[in-house]
Amino acid sequence: MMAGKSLRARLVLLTTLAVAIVWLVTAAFTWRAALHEIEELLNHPPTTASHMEEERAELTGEIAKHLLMPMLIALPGLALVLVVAVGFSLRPLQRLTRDVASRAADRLTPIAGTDAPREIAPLIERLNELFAGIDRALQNERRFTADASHELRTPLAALKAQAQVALAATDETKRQHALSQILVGCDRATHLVAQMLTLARLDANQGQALQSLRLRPIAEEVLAVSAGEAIDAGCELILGEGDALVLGDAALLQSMLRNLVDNALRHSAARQIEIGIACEGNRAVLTVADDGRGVPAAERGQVMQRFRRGTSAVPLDTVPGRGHNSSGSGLGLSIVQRVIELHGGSLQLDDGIDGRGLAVRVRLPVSTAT
Amino acid sequence: MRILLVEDDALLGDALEAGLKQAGHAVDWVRDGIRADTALATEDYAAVVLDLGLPRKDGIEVLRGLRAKKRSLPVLILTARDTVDDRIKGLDAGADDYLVKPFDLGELNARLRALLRRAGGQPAPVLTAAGLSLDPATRRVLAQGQEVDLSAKEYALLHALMQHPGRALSRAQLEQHLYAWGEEIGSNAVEVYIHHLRRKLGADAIRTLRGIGYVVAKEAP
Repeated sequence: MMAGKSLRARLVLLTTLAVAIVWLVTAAFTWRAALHEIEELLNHPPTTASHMEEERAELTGEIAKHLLMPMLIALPGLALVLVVAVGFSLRPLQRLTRDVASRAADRLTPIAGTDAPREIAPLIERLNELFAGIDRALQNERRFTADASHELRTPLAALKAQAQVALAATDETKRQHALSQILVGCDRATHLVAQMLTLARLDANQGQALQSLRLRPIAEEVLAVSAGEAIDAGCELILGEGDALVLGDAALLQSMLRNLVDNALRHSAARQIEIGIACEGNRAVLTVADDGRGVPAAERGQVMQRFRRGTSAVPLDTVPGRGHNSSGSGLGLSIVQRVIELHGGSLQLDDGIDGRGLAVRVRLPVSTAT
Repeated sequence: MRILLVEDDALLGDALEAGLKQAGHAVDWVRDGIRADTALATEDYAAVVLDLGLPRKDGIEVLRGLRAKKRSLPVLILTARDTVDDRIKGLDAGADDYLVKPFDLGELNARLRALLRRAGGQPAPVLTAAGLSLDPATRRVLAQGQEVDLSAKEYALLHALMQHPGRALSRAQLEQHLYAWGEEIGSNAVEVYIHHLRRKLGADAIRTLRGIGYVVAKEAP
């Protein structure tokens, strides 16, 4: 097999060769017959006009016969040669067909195509790219399903146990407590489902076009929505000076920022949360800083490691020092992580306001559009 | 029985604490692995209900640490991951039993009873001693075949004594069994409950060993 050669070149070569052989054989036969007839004619020149006519007919007949006969015999042979040659040339294509046909839906390993002809190689490459894409999507899906079932199990267990406690309670205040806890659990499960849908949409969003947009309106919108909860929690929300133009998706960035603000609001017991927007070279820096409980510097590495690994859900609210609050869905950081991934950004954890609490810094590529 | 509950989820922990108390246990609830270690090092528990996904220190690590110290108290693990691998990992790390979330509170209590029974070397589900029988599943106590109505604390105290008939338990040990953290312990609470129990079960159901403690006699062979 001619490794990596062009299929077209091989077919043209084989066909030309076959036609040339038949043509040469025909020419040789015709030449011999003509030579023989002409010699006979010269040795015994015709004497009469009728004899002359006879000889001429014989000569042209012989030439025509020798032109036709090899062709008639060789044509089926030529066809046979072509069938074999074409079949031989198309073998890589057949192998590819067999490989694709025999695949189970979830076998997405790349097709081996090192010796494929030049015409098929791009097809194999595209197919392998497609397989890799589907594989990524499937893995995301699996990860999501596993995360979802894992994340839902604990609130479901809590709901069931609280309901059973309420049923078995003989004390009215205990029953009331268990019932109100069930309501809290339902709110939490609702929030969790909303967060999971956001994550699922994020996974489906891959490759969506990013637009040039300003960060400030996004921060203003998020803070406006969180204002009520912040007042209830006795926490001050501050938006610092500054703005930056980034390449992004407004809805996704909003969802990311809301998760960061919610996390600071609900899990750190902060009195102040400050959002800052700045530019550092070709990166826009979005900072959410609080003065709450924070995450000890020694344990930030652990958070970042889990963040980079990007395996299962990495809830900021199960991070050391942040009690698993009843309103935390545990998917917050997963959402933040996916949004940052989609924007080609990075995340950094620092000390928060006045060295207390936590500051989450998100760096995003700035937009060069004006 | 005094149970250590290790669960980081506020809602589930609250429910489990209430559910275990309903089953007559004294419950200490801690929310992370480090606090679980401290509690296990300082207090005497009959069993541990341990969630695996914990902040600060993983449940599996807590369990390994406990077994490395040759502590044999029964441990029931709660896990949100239901893959066989996770269950094998938990059991191999030294767990006695496991439940996958979401679980039934009744099943949790039944499994705990079974673990406590085995830990106490009692093959039969119903504990028996001289003239007494106690069924941890139904919490029914019979004295000379007659059903006796006991308060939660009286029941817990009798349960502790009947777990090991013939072995004396000191007042301090009994207090450990009866009270979780933060519960007010009356200075002579144990004496008062013993007094009530003797009134209900018969004067010689529980004997006092002066300077040692209290004991329920083994069933006569």
